[in-house]
Amino acid sequence: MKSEDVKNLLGDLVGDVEEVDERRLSAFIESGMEREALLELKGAGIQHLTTITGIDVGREVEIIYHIECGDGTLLNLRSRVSKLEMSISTVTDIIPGAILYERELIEMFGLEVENHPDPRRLYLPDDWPDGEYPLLKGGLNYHSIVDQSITDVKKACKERDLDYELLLEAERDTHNRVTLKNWLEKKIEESEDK
Amino acid sequence: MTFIVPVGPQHPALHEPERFRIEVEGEEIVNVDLRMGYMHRGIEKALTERNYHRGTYLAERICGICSAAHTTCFTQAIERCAGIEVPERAKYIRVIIAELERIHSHLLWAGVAAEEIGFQTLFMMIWRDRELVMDLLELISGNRVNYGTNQVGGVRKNIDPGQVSKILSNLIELEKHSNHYVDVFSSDQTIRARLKGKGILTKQEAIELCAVGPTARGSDIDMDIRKDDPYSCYDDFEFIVVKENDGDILAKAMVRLRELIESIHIIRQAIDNLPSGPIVAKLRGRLPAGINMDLPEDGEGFGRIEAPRGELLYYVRSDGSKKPSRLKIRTPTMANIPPITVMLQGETLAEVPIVIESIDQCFACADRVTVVYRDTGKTRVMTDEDLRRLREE
Repeated sequence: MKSEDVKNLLGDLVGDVEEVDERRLSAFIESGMEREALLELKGAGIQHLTTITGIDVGREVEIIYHIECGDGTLLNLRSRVSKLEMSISTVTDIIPGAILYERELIEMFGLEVENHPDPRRLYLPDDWPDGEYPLLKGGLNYHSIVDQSITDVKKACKERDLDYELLLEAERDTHNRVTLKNWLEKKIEESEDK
Repeated sequence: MTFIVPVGPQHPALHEPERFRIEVEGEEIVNVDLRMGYMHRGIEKALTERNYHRGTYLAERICGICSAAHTTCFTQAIERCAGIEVPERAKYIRVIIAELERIHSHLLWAGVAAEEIGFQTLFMMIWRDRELVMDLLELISGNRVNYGTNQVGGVRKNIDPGQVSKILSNLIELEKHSNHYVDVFSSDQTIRARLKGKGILTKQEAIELCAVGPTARGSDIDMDIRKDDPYSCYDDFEFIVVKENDGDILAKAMVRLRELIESIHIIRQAIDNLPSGPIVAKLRGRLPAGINMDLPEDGEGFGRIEAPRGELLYYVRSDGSKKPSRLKIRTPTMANIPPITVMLQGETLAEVPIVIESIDQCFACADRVTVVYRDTGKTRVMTDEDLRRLREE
């Protein structure tokens, strides 16, 4: 399968299809359009999903669907999900073999996979704390931080190199607690003054 | 009325800890649930905390049986990412080790399968013959398992002419025995009674559940990464992709046994045409003084090989530093777990061990992602003490 074939098959669903290496194709896809793309591919007889990789790339999590095209070509469909949304929809109804890979994303990155038939833990122990996601860089979940008391937030800010803007966004998104918001904005002003 | 029968995490029929929660109606299995994670060591995360060269040693220890498969795949991903060209001779040596390992792994499986159905004599015979290939691996690498032959850019151990005659003579023995086992498995009444028509995975199910390796090839799927997506010079060799169309355990067994003979052919071709020259690419600087290669700031590399159990994928993302920023591993056992639940349904409780064994499962491979990673943001290794304390709690 060549990059043109993929482009012809998927059309506007994907951006440019690049050949990144021998028999390795790569294409960006808008978040939320994975299902349509996989349905198109399945219609063309391509339904071997090798795995789904999640990668923390700062403010977003990149999700790569590695798809074997049947002739040894590995097509990598990439989409990015903002850390504030952290939600994708399941592809298990299209490709049942994706079930464990999606469970891995749920527990390792804290992604919510909508309509997943079995969103339990896969590898992590039963007593693993909620809100701790091993493969998120720095283990940060901004929503869980702004859920805590101001003292805890201060402590978390002191210990880690936090992105205040993201923290603020998470705060606005969830609670609208004026005090914490003010405190955070003051912190940002201070850091800008420096 | 259904009953729940727990199998594992510790169970005489399982060789590794994993828990199966089997729902039975009378003797018949109606539902299966699997709890994984008892072998979880956090290796994906740990690999991003070591430099690329040290990572090879950790990748080797993901699995004790297919250790060369893991390092071949790991180094391949990094070589592709850094643009390192591996010398021809090194590629051939990698093929020889990989195929010897496949023979060792398939013989090990055949022995364990014989044991699971209570055929102790056959188990002993197969494992006796497995020593022939273990001797060859020890001769070439110095180790029976965890060979330590692969490194980024090539291999660490050369094959000298003195070893060739020993390799060839053991291969003749192995071929004789392998052909015998193909006969035994296709004609013996005991084996056929236990394996024929059991644990069926249809072609459609195998496609939908994305099965790989001998599990998929036993269900009439033509899929072999060595042929489809050739790496390490596999396109230089002639061999056939063995497949069977029944989808039962016997089909999977026959695929593995017939692959032994193909592997022997590949090793003979590789030895006959072994090119001369260096065995490792010239990297700048010397080891172990830091990392001696240039990785792009936002680069990626894929390693994809046919391990004894099926398609193995490594995906590496580099950020220009000494360590990978992300390393994803998809082992073949992981892909073959959804098919187990389908294969077990409708079987009787007595078939559980052999059905589970039929995918040649390796839970050490599958469970590897977690870390102990709390507030400090640091990895912590669980000591024996910690584990003991946890157990007591």
